[in-house]
Amino acid sequence: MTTLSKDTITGLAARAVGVTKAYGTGATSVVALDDISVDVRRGQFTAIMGPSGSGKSTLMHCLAGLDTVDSGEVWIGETELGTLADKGLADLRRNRVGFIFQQFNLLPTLSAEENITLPLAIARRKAEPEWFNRVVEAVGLADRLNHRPSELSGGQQQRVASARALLPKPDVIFADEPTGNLDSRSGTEILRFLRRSVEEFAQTIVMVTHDANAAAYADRVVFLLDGRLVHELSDPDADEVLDTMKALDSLGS
Amino acid sequence: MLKATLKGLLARKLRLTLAGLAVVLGVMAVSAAMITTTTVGSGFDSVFQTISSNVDVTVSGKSNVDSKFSGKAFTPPVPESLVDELSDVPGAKSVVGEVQADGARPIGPDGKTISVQGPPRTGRAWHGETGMVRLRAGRGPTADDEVAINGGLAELGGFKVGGTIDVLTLQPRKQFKVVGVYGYSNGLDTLGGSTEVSFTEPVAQQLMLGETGMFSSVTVTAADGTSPEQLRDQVADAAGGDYLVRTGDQLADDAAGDAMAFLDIVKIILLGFSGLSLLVGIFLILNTFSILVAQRTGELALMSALGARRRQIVGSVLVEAVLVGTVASGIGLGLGVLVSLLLKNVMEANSGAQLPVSLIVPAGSMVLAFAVGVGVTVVAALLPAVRASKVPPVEAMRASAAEQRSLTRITVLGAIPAVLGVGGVVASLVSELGGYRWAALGGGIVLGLFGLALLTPVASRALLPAIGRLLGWSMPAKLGRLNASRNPRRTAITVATLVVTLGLVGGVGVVAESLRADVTTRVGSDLSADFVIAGDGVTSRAGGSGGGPPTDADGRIMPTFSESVLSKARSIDGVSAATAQYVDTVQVSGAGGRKPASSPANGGALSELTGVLGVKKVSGSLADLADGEIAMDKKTLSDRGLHVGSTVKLATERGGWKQYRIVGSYEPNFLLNGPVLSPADARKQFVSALPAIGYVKLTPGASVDSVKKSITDLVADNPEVSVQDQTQAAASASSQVDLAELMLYVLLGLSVVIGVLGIINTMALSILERTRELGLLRAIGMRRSHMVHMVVAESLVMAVFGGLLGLLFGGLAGASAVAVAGLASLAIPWTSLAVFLGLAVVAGLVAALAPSARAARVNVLSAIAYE
Repeated sequence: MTTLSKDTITGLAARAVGVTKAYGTGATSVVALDDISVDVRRGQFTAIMGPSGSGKSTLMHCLAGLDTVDSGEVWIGETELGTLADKGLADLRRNRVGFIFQQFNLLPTLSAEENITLPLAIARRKAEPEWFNRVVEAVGLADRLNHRPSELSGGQQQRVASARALLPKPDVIFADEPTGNLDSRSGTEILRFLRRSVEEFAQTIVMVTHDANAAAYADRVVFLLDGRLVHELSDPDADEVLDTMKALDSLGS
Repeated sequence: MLKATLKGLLARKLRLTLAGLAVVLGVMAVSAAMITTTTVGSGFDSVFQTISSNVDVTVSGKSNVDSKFSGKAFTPPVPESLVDELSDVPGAKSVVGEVQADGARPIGPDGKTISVQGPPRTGRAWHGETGMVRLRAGRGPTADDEVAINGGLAELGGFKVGGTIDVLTLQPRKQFKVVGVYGYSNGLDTLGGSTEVSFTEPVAQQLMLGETGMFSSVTVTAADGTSPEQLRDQVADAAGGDYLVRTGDQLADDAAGDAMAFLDIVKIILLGFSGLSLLVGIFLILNTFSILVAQRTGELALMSALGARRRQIVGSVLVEAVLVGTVASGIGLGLGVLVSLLLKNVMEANSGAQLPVSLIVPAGSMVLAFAVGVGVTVVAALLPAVRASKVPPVEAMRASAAEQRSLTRITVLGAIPAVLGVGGVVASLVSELGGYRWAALGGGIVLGLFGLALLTPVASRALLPAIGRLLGWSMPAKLGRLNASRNPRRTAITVATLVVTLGLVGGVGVVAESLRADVTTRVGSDLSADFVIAGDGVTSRAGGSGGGPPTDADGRIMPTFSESVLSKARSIDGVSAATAQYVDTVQVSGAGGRKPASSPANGGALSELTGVLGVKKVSGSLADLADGEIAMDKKTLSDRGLHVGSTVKLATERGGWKQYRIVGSYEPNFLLNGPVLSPADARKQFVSALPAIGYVKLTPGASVDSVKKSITDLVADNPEVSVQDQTQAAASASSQVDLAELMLYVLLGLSVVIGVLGIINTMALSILERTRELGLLRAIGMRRSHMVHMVVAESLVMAVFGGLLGLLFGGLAGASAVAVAGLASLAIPWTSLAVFLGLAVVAGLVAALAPSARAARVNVLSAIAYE
């Protein structure tokens, strides 16, 4: 156990402490994360940015328990992920973490409603009807619940995925380029929904993106370069983010 | 283009291996069948060639009964006088009478007869070290109670010079002193696995031919300068038309042909299996290539967008198919050779046959097997390839366009044969089509099966959800069920093997069970005897085509027992009557220009037989028969245009033609059919002068168990004969059904194995296809155990669906066949059907093993990575 006060721990939804992660061995080894420490505060919308290869996706995968770390600790709430076996990780992902991916987000065999309730159904739980209705209303899918993914537009599919991530009230929702595959209007809808989740439901969200406009919806943006945390912005606007990215690009090249 | 194809091929090794497996199995079975039969066949040829190598011409009796129906175990003997008649034939150097016949059954040290499958158990007269015979130890027999045996038999039974051996022949069990053991001039201890007992000549004549003064054949050696063919013609002139005169070569061919009959069974089993596995192979390959092509639709579309022609696209798939087919067929051939080697060794070990040949690989047949393997692969791959080439590039580049094709056309196409098929079956059931009923039924079933195949996709839509719900309610189970119904066509092809296999199993099961019930009812109603004394397999051969007693027409020696058993049985306390039935095959001459026809023949005290067998009189008298009198069943009488009071000529193998007067007619039943001769006539005319079946009736209140024990003691010295009560007799009578059923089940069991391969194939391919989806499921919190559960559910749902569909279809087809055959009752073997369905479930579980492990191991990150 670390020596952080209990107050601090409960204030954090997720955190990485001195995480290092390398791919490959020997001469071909690539360091993706280099002794990085990040805190994700509860009820905050955090965006992770950085140029390609900066390790932003790896950081998110490690934070979410999808990938293992070489050294350091990753915490979701009060759980250190290194102590969990596969079964524990699966249960953690199901109950305490939500995911929104760029694509391949839904099961084609299930209706929209079944997709939304899938994590609960796996755990043999039922959604509270009131909460379910609120979430569905928030994503604006009330009239599409019985449709199959193939009958929904890309934006609608992504909203189904968002609702699925939100429904179990996870400690953190991880969104990996959630607007990357969408046109700007659909993308904006998703970002507004995420913003609303943070404000109305006090949901914690971590989003990886390379889009400055998307990052502008976040409370806080952290910038990665070569596996290290190099900069941080609070309540940013798009221009600030763009400037920082440009600065990082020149720094990287 | 070719280079791209080859690269793609290597990248999909696993999938192609699965597809190739069925071809490997099929080609393996075909080639093994060819090699084994050729090898063993040439082994027999060479054995019989050597046996007859120093025979120039042989003279034997001409069969009195159609060879088609007569027993191969017995050929009519020739009189001793023939030797003298032939001694003056010009060109003949020596003329020797031989005694040699199948049917000397030695009893081993364990009290059971020594059985060899296929090769004869020869009894012969000792003529010293003539021909191929060479003494290895001791001497030849000189006294009536002495024998010499061949080395093969000595080894099988552990017999030694100085010991004794018990032998069953046309006469009851007799004990002999073993005074010599012999082998053959080619260094072997047995000829093709046969056992041999050599008696002194008079004893051999008595035991093997039934009377002294007879030879089984006469061997004539040619003088220098006379060819066997010339000599044969000379001998034929001298002997007259009553004899069969053959050269040594002809004899060898005929003998080898007879001995190879059992090889046909091996061949049929192997070819049946290969046919099944190739058929299934077509499904497997069709499925694999459909999936491969569907997965590559985008790739193929890109190629065509880049300017590849349709022909090139089809070509690229076909190149793959040819390569897979060639490799798989090659491996199949290799395995076939190995299996043949194994089979040859097993056969040698089992029959003691020392085949003086190495494995013979018939090149022509091998090329054929190879071509079949490659051809099947290519044909099965062609369909998906052509379909892929027709998809417009733009549509193909959109994901999973090929998956959602409408089922309307295939359903309409399937409905047509299905309706016709059902119509045919219904017609066979309700209308008077006479001889066309079976044609209507058969055609209906084939059309129905065809329709079923095309309707399976639609059926899967309706049935899979229901079956899935029966198997589990949890989310993983539901996901599995939905996956199974995702692509109805693929599901249909996947379960096709199981449908066909379990269809056959279900149909055969229903027919067999009904036949058994029928036989049991008939035996129960016909047989009023409390006990039946009969040799192994005798009652099981009863009631064959058209009913009636068993005959030796299948070439086996009919086990018999001593007449004295009956007289002793009569004196047992509690026995009210004991009587016996003699059986043989006769030829009944036709009246009014009809051709002679074979018939089972019976002998025995008629008045007693009618009592125990429940035979009903039609006309005339069924009192005990005098010599020259017979009773005949009503059907044979009307078929032959005969009636009570007329005379008829009957021929037996041993006795030749003789005239009889018909004094009575009766209703044929399960155990009595054909002419019934007086016991005295039967003893003279029939091949075996001993009773084949005995019947014992008890006095009311007698102790069943103690009487059975007493009678059993009477036949204790005869290991071939046992005492059965009514239930056992009925079971034994229906055991032919059991055997046929069992053989079929073994064959079908093998095809279930291939069915499992089919499911594994589809599952494995589906899982590769759905890697991303599986990754997503893992990401949102499915445990590994959930993944396994999901895949197992998918596999089980498909297996149970295929199994149910097959059993339902087969059951209905079987029930229709039972109705058309006019069996008394329809009996459904629920237990067996449940077991078969269980087998389908096991198949589903086994098929899910590897794919579910793979699904559980899916790496979340690589699955959701989209770069």
